[in-house]
Formats: sequence, C-alpha cells, structure tokens
Amino acid sequence: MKTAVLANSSRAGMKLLASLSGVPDNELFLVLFPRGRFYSLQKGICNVFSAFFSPFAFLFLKLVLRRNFIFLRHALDHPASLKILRGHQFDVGLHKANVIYRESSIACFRTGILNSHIGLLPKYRGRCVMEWSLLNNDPTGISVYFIDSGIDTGERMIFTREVDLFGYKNLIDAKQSLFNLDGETYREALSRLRAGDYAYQKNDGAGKRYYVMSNLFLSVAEQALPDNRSGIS
Amino acid sequence: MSALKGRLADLCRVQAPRLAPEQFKEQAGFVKQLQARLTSQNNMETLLSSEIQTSVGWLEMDGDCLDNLRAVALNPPLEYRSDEDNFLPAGELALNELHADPHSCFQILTQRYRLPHSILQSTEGEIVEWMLYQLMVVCRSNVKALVEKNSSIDHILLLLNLVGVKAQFSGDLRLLDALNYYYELTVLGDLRDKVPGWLFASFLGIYAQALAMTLNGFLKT
Repeated sequence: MKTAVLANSSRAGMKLLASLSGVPDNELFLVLFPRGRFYSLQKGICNVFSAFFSPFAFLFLKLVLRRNFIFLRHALDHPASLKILRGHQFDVGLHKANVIYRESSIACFRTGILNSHIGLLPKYRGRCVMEWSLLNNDPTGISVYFIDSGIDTGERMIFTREVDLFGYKNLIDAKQSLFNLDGETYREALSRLRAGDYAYQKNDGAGKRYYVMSNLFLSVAEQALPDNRSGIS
Repeated sequence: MSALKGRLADLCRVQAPRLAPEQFKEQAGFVKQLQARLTSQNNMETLLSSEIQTSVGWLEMDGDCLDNLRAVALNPPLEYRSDEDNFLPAGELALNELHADPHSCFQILTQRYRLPHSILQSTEGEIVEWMLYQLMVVCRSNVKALVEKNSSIDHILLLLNLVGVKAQFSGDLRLLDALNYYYELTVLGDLRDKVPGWLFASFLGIYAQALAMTLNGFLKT
C-alpha cells in the first residue's frame, strides 16, 4: 500500500511516520503542506529543515533520498497540489495536520484519508471531546475513521477503542497521551485494511458536535480524570 | 456543582455590582433594576429555589423580542409547558437566510423570536445548532477585535441571549458552556467595561438563570 502521512509540520509528520515503519507491504511518504493558502519561502525552508534537527533526521534523509518526501507549496486543495497527489496514486492518507479536508483532496487517495480521533464516535464529534466525555462521565477513547469534508462525520469507521486515562492528573497530559496513540492506532488500521480484516462500523452522525470548552468546565473535566475523582463534588 | 455555584456567586456578588447602569443610556433603568436583582441578598437563594413561581406565561408576553428579552432577564425563568409545544415561531427559516450580514441576521432573529421562549420548540433545533456554531467558531475569534474597534457586537449578544434562554431548559451543557466561555472572554477577560449595549447586561441576567436552572437540575437528579 502507498501510504501518505499528511502533515503541516515536518517534525510531527516524521514522528508519526517513524512509528509506522515496519508495517508490512507499506510504502510510506511524507506530504508536507501549509495550513494556510501557501508557504512563504522562508517558512517552507524552516519547516523542512527542522526535520534534520530532530530525532528523526536520519529517517527523514532516507525519505528524501527515496523521493518519498513531497513538499507542497500550496494548500492541499490547490490545483497544483491536487495534480501532484493524483500523480502519486496513494492508497491511503493519514491525517496529521491541522486542516479540514475538501472532497477534491480526499478523492486523491484510493481508499480515503484516515483520522485517529480522540473521542468515541458517533457520540463525540468536534473539539475537546476527551474533556466533554469526562464531563459527561462517559468513557474516553479513540476512533479511527475515514474523513469526509464534515467535522468527524465520515461514515466509515475502522474501529473505536475505549482508553482509560489512569495516571494523569491534568487534562493536557491526558490529551497528549491520546494523541500519542496515533502511531499505534494507524498501524492497526493499516494492518486491518491490508488484511481486509474489518467491517466498517457506521458513524451515523447521531452524536453532537462539541466545541472549545470554557475554563470553568475544563476545571470540572479535570476533576473527573480517574486519578482526581476522589475530589469531585 | 461547586464550580457552577462558584460561578453564580461570582456573577451575582462580584461582577454584577460592577455594572455601571448610567453607561447604558436609555436602558439605564433596566440595567439598574437587573443589577439590583442580581446583587440582592437573597437572589442566589431565589434563583436556586426549585419553587420558582411565575405569573406570566411566555405566550402572553407583549412587546418585541428585545422588550421580552429584558423581561426574561429581569424575571426568574418563565414556566414552559409542554402543551404549548405546538406553537411555532413565525414561518419557516432557511439557515442560508442567516448567513447574511450581522445586521440582517439580527433583524431576522428578533422577528422570529419575538417570544424568546419559542426557541425552545423542537422545530428550532437546527437553528440553535447554527447559533452555537456561530458563537463557538465564527464569532469567538473576532469578538475581541470588534469590541476594541468599538464596533457593534449586538448580533453576538443576541445569540448569547437566545442560547441562554434555551440553555435554561434544555440540559444540553454545550449551550451553558457557550455562555461560560463568553463570560470568561468578556467579564473575566479584559473586555468587561468595553462591551457596549444593554444586551450585554441581559446576557448576564439570563446566564445567571441558566446556571441556576442547571444547578437545580443536578439537585433533582
């Protein structure tokens, strides 16, 4: 399978890519593209070269030499970017960027673009879903699904998994622990896709869309972390 | 629960006394009345009492949307009976009509919600979701800039007032949290003395009621 990690930051992209190396029958690419409409020359160069000063420098060098590193000067849905993506005929994309994808970009990937969402779909869509799950006293976890152009509305889910947040006293660490699972969850999703060992679960859109949480509710959600529960009033 | 009680206490005992009614020009009387209510010794207890009685049904309210929002802000939550659920706000509203400029949006919403409690109707769910999206995605990032440029944010404050009415009765914590968020952004942020218009004061009154209603809901369960 030709798999592209889609990232706005070379370091973040390389971190994910490093955790995926060794997946059988899988050729990995890093596609770096701007969050906005285009990279200024200076920003682009800085972003690319920061990978050489990261723990993943050697892997990045190998990627560049194999021509498996793709730098897009324009946004992912720009005609020039779309042409490059189509030319590579990727099987699947892995979301590691801070953007919402348009259908034209998604269509460049044979099976689609996967997202490792840090909430349990279909109930929890949108932002701060880990915090909202805690506030509502619901299980926390991860859903891996194929993105569409909506906010966590992609219908095809590969799997969902509850993840307990024991050992964390604050929301930032707890959330980061869920984000850090993306390598593991994408690995599993890629293995399942390759083996055909899955049946799509349907994300039926029955859930609500959640938004940024106020400081007041963040403080309540933090108290609802398993390690802090004794202090709940 | 203690967090919500703490917020309600902050609103009634710390922030409400800082309102300066004279700054609200022709609505100074309303703001003065609201301030007196919010800061009165037993207001929190009244709000938190589960025995709130009201003599005014929401369908009998006179006046336009803005008059009625002032009335709602001043009075404990109006009773909402489910047998009134067949009342529909005037006509159908396509969401794309609301994508017009803020002034038109304000006009459309004040016409539709002449009776603010009609936002509680089940038919209004999609519009409430739209309001929440506007508040938490579209307006959130530019409200500070608008206030600092002395531009009107009446359309945002209207959304907050209407979402506040809905938050009192719906139990959907996302709605209450939109009010929490804007309270933190304006009152607890550095915009407290800069937000223009009485709709800001009525937002505080309705927010206090929404906090109290949510607390009452927790107490009952």
